[in-house]
Amino acid sequence: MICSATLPGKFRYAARRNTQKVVRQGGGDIFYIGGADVLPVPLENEAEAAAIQMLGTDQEDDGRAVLIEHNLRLVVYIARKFDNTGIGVEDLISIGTIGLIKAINSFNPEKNIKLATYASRCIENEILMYLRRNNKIRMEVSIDEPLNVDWDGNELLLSDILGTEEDVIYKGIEGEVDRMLLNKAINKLSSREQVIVRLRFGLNTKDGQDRTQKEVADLLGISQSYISRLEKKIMNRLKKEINRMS
Amino acid sequence: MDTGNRLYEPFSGKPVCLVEYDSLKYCMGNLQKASGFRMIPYHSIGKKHGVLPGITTEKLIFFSQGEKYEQKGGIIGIYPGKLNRDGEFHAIVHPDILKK
Repeated sequence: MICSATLPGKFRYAARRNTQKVVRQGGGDIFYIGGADVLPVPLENEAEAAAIQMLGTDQEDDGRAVLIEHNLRLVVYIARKFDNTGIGVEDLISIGTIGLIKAINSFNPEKNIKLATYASRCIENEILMYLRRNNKIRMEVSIDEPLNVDWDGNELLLSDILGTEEDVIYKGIEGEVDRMLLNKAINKLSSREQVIVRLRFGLNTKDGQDRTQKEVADLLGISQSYISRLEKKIMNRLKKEINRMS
Repeated sequence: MDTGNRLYEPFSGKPVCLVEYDSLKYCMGNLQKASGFRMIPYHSIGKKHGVLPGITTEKLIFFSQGEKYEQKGGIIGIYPGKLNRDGEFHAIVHPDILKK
């Protein structure tokens, strides 16, 4: 290191550390850059007018830099207003800064409006547009999202509690077996009994619709009470048949 | 150690590492998203003050003399010109990052 001097609050000076290179180059590179702990204060009216004057001339970059620098407080102020949106203030500041830059690029001093007023509108707009774009995303949740953490630090993920019912897979298989048994049992009935069961419960009929005892009775030209008695008998018979098979 | 870089990002107070734009531009393609973008006010020799565009990184990692230094969410200041006229270095690390 060649030289490093610091006068707090006044100036700081430092030279680059790599001694060999500096010696070889004779002059060396001196580099100093520092920043403020707090954001620069807003410009006085005259200074702001001077900076705005620079826009559109060959000093445009300098003017723009000054205006951006001294309006960063405005960005932070507006970003804080959107604190409750669930988006981090740092992100809001990023987006607000872009709004500020757009404001300065499109500011027209001939229109009778203060830059701060115009910039506020632009910054707010930029943030609102961002929020609208991200609204859709905010409704989405990752299935790896931890819902809870226990004392041992084990995470309960959303994917742990998602799933199908336990018996969803063999439920179908069991249903198929049951149906097969039932068909076998029905085949053992007399043909009139078979007709009654199939019509009544819509088994292997064209429309697959179940019918009331009254409807079946009308179709077969017998009384409903007779159907009721037959049905009771058929049910007992089927139960017995199925029990014997399984 | 003093690298001459005393730049802090005023919003978060994090140290800023300077990197030349030329070294970054190859990976700038996917930086279109606004998140992590900053304008960092600075002052320096030669130019009294100004603003420097910066980006927030996920992680900055340095290797120096066999040591590894890591900073989560480190900030890079994008320097538009050349940091060194002979092109011997293209970035200036902030000394805070090399503290362990």
